[in-house]
Amino acid sequence: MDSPAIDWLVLGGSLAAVLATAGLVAWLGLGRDARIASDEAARLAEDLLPGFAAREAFVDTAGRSALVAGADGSWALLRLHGAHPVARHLRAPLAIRREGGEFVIDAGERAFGPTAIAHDKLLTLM
Amino acid sequence: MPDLPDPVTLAIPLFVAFMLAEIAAYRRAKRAGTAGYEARDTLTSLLLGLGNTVTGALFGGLALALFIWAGQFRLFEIGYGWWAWIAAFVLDDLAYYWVHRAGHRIRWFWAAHVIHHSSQHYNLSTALRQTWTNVLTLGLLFKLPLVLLGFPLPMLLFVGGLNLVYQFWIHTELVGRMPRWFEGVMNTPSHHRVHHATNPRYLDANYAGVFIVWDRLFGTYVPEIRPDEPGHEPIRYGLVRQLGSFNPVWAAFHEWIGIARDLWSAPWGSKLGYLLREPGWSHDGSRDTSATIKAKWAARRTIAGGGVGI
Repeated sequence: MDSPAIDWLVLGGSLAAVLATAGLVAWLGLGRDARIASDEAARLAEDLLPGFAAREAFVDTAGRSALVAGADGSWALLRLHGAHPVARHLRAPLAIRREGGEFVIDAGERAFGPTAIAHDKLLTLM
Repeated sequence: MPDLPDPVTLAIPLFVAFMLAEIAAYRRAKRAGTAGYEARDTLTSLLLGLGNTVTGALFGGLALALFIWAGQFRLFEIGYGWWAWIAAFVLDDLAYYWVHRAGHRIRWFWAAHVIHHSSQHYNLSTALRQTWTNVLTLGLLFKLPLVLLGFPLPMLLFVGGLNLVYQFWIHTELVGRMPRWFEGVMNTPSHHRVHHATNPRYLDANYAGVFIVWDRLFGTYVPEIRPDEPGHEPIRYGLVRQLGSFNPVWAAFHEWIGIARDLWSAPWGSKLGYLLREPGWSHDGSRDTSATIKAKWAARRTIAGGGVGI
């Protein structure tokens, strides 16, 4: 049964406008050039995770993600989410596996998803 | 009773025009590495805004029915005099301040409001990232006193709409500071950037809708430190624990799911705390609230500054 409170034509037009606007942003390429720089991963981890003290950072060769070792033995997992980084605080042991030429770390959250990192030194963590 | 238009509906063409202008401005600045917009973030924001109009149409009648029912108990017959319009606008904004403050300090209310803060961008599309679940909170009770005072309901709906329209333009990084007198009285992009910031120094501040005077009056005002001022740090927007997902349904319901899980698993004596205490509160202190985040930040600054840490 149709709800009289909703004008389906307006709703359809609004949805088209929403898709067109997002499409325009994609077409213009805004927010696509973000990278995690190797010299900023440790600071990012400390900024994004309250109380986290970074010791050493392993940054993906393409700058998509990073794994940062903490002074207390815990880890910060960083990855780009669109144009900005997101982070999760992980405790050892890490759920890490090798897929092709990169390592995949599972933060244990379905919505966050697995994070791929290409970095030679991560082999020592497995 | 006058037949008043809905200011928000009337303003939609302006919303679109200003958003396109902001996108164009960021396109021009792209070579400078600015990432003011990102396609998936924009899509999520606008879908959440569209969903808000749908849930408003579906459930707005419940609030209206409550207000109409409460109106029979009004103390005065205020009518539509010019002074009544001004009083309604100002008092509605005062009510907005408190419902907004509750939206940040009570997890039950935060579960609905968190949607608006879930973008890591701060642009005009973020302004349209609005809740789907207001009906599940009692936020409308904060405006009930205005009905009971005797302000006409159409007037309250109109000034409430004006309030929302005003708040659109302050969601931008492209406006620095307005003139001093304006910053002193009105909510501005500068004040509201602080509100959307996750930097510890800025947490739980600037709840104003239109008039920043409420924050100054009730002790929640924090000024923005601009790039040319000492102590500036780049603002990070979003949530202290970023979602990491562009799924609008997850953005709309994740905190409700979190509350349900906590209510299920918490000890009996602590269950209500997960609903009524501040976001991040936990019965065993294992999570971070804004207060603990600020404390950790202060300790880190003390150590970095060469002083004694906590």
